[in-house]
Amino acid sequence: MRNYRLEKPCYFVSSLAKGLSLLQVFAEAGRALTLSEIANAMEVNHTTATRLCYTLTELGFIQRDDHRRYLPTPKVLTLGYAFILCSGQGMGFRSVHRKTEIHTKGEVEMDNWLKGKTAIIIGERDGVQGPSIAKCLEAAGANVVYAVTECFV
Amino acid sequence: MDPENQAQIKKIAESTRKDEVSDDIIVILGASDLDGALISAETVTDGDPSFSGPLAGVSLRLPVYHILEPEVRDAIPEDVYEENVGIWTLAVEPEKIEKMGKEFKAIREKTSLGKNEESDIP
Repeated sequence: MRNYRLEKPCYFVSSLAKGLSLLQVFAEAGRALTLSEIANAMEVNHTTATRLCYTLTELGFIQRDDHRRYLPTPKVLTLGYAFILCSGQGMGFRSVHRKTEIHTKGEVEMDNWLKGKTAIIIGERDGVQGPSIAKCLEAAGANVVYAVTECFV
Repeated sequence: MDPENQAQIKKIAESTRKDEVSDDIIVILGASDLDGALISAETVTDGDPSFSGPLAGVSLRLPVYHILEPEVRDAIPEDVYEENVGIWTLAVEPEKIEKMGKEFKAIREKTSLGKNEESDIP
C-alpha cells in the first residue's frame, strides 16, 4: 500500500483509499486478477485483499469469475460520471453517460423505446429531411410507415 | 402541413386504430423552425389549425416528437444519429432545442390527458 504524505492524517480514511487503489490495480493490469496478485500489487496482506474484494463485490464494482479471478464490472464506469458530466458539455460526453448508464443497469441494448413503434415522419427541406429521420428511426427498431419531406416556398 | 400528408396521416391513424395498435403510432417532425414544428404538432393532435386540410376539425391525438428532442436522440444509435441529424444539433442553438423539447413534452402530456376523451377516428 502506498504511503501518502498527509497534512491531516487523522482525516484520512485508509480503507477508502485501499478500496480505490484496488480498482486502480485493474486499470494498470488490464486483465482479471487473482487474490494473490491483487494483494501483491497493492502491497497488502491476503486478509485485507480478501475483505476489500468482498466489499467491492458486494457493492457490485467487481466480480469473481469461474477461475477465482476478480475483474471489474461495468459499474466502475459510474465513478467516471462526475468527471464526464461536470467537464464535458458536448454530445460525445452525454452519449458516453447515456450508454454507460444503460450498461450499468445490466441491459445490453440501447434504451430504444422507439423499438416496435409505428412511425410517421414529416421532415422538412430546410430542416431535418424525411429520409434522414427514417434512417434514425429504423436503426432504433421503429417501423416507418410514412416518411416525407415537406417544402414550404 | 401539406394536405396530402394530412390525408396520409389520417389514413394511417384510421387503419392502425382498427388494428388496435394505436398506442404504438408516433409522429416525428424535422422542421428547423419551432413555430412551424408546433403547427405541425397541433395538426396531428388537435387538428389542422388552418382548417384547410383533411385534418381540419379532426383530433387524432397522436404522440408527436421532434427529432432533435433528447428523448428521441437518446433512443437512436449514436453513429446513425450523428450521420443523419448531427449537423442540426450543431446548427440549432441548445436553448432552442431545450425550448422545443419542453413545448413538445407539454403537447404530449396534453394529448395523453385527452386520451380519456374519444379521438375523432372511429
